[in-house]
Amino acid sequence: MVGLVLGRDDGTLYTSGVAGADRKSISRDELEDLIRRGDAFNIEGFQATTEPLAALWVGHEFDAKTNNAGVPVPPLPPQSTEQVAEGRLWVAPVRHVWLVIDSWIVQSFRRAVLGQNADLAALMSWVMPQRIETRAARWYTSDKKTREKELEWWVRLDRGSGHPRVTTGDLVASFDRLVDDVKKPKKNAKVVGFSALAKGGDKEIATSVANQAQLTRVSFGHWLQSNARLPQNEPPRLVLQARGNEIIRERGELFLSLEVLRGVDNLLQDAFVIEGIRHLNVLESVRSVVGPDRFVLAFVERPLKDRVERLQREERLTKEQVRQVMNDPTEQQIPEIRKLANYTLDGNEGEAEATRLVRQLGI
Amino acid sequence: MPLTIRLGHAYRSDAKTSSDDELAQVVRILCGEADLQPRTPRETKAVSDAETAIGITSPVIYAFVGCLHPDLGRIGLVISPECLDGRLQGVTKCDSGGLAGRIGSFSYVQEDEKKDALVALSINEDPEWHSVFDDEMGRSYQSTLAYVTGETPDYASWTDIRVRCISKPPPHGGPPDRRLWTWEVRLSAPPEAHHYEALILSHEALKQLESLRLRGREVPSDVTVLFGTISATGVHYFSGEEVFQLLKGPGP
Repeated sequence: MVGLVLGRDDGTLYTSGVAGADRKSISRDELEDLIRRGDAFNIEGFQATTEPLAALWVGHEFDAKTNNAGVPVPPLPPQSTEQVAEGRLWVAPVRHVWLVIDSWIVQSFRRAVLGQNADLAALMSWVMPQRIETRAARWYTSDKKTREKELEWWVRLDRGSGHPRVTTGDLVASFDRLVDDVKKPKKNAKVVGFSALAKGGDKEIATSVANQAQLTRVSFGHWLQSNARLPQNEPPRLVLQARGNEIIRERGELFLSLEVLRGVDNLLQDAFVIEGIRHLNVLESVRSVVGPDRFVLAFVERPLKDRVERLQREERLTKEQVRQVMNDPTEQQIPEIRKLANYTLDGNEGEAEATRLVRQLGI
Repeated sequence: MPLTIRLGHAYRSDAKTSSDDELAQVVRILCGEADLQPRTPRETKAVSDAETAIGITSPVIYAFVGCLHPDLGRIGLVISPECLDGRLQGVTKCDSGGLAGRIGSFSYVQEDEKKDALVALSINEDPEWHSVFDDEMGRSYQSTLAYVTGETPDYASWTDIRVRCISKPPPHGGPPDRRLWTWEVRLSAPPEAHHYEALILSHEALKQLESLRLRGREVPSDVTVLFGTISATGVHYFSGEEVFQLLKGPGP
């Protein structure tokens, strides 16, 4: 994560994404000096918002290594990603950048431990060398001599950082706990994603699965509803489709996905249900943030005539409006998503299908 | 009583040096294999004006008393005040370059006032300068830690030009910049390796240190290593509690 310097309308500059110094003024000379020294990149064309922004730096070498290790970076939206010679910079709200980093560390730790993958453990040092998961992965995948040397170094760092009594034994005990936690079979922390065409029945089945398994349910539809003004004379579905398209156009699928995922308290640990996936990059974003090993996709099908009938009856749409809904860009990638589903469910058999899925997943 | 508060030096090499080489050079300095060098100033004219006014005739190494600046620095060094023995060129009761360049709130100093202001605020080659510093600490801050953390001083007893700069609203808004009242110290020669007490790194610089370390390059074991981090609230630089405690030194 790197901080940003942004410009105000009056030409003055301020920092963003710097803890304790957000919106602190910085002189043009200071900025030019940072750029001259290679400590800052000059990037252009991003619309600043009121929320604190930071950037995620992904170097090409890191990209290649993490792809090889099976923990790819989520698809970064081109509209907020700057390509530079050595890599890419994604500009996003600080909390989004953090979530992507945090989830990468947690997933990499799991994978490094389960696969005894020393290379991936080393790669974690490129991201957050001081994180306990990074240290634990390095410790777990190293030989005895390296372990001892590393433990001494970490104790030295911790003693300097306000933990004067920490011992190598303390560190080993905390590493053991983390490693055991990954290795021991525990209750399934599955994330169940649902997708369907309009009025396909994903919302009903997702709700039923969440109720039966007592899981949190988050929904793209709900998020859009609470973030869009719904005019009284416009059908909500058309308004929400338009709002979703607008957000994706302006800020990208990863932004939308991370906003929806904010509804889950413990995203990286808890099982939950996410409903309303209708774009391939949304699917890929969700899957990579929560971890492919936890994620399953359920596709809910319902015959066209039933969906048309429900759109007209339940949402009071005219034939023309139904046609609009079905031709909306929101619907266009769904056939491709269907091909990637782990489960296909019948939207007309909601409760029974939900029960079957809960049983199959063991959640 | 000897000075107990530590000196902070934000390390910056010249612009041509890559950030990897920059950290490697700092490790060489900490190991006593190289010397800290006077660096090329960012605001060349301002610093040159200040140095002329104060009577500096050869390059000096700048540090702040109890402060690491800038906020966006990558590498900070905490240096024992013992290094001042035989190396003290002088001190100024604020950032001399900022004042000479009339940067930020120093712009409230008129162009024709700045030379006299610099002279009035500076003490040259006087090893007892810290009794003046201690007196200001006692009158203006609740504690040494308050000075180190950058709290705005109680300047009611001050009579110099800093009062005007601190009391007026900063030209670009926000809180007043601590360089208006943080003391600058200048060394005529580099510290020795044993004077370096701590290496403070940004999160990015820590990653580079890891890379150096894995290639066998070690920071001397008596140097404390502190580092910034990242979190859901952003990038954390040199402003952690542990950094302040180190800069405060062992005194009250």
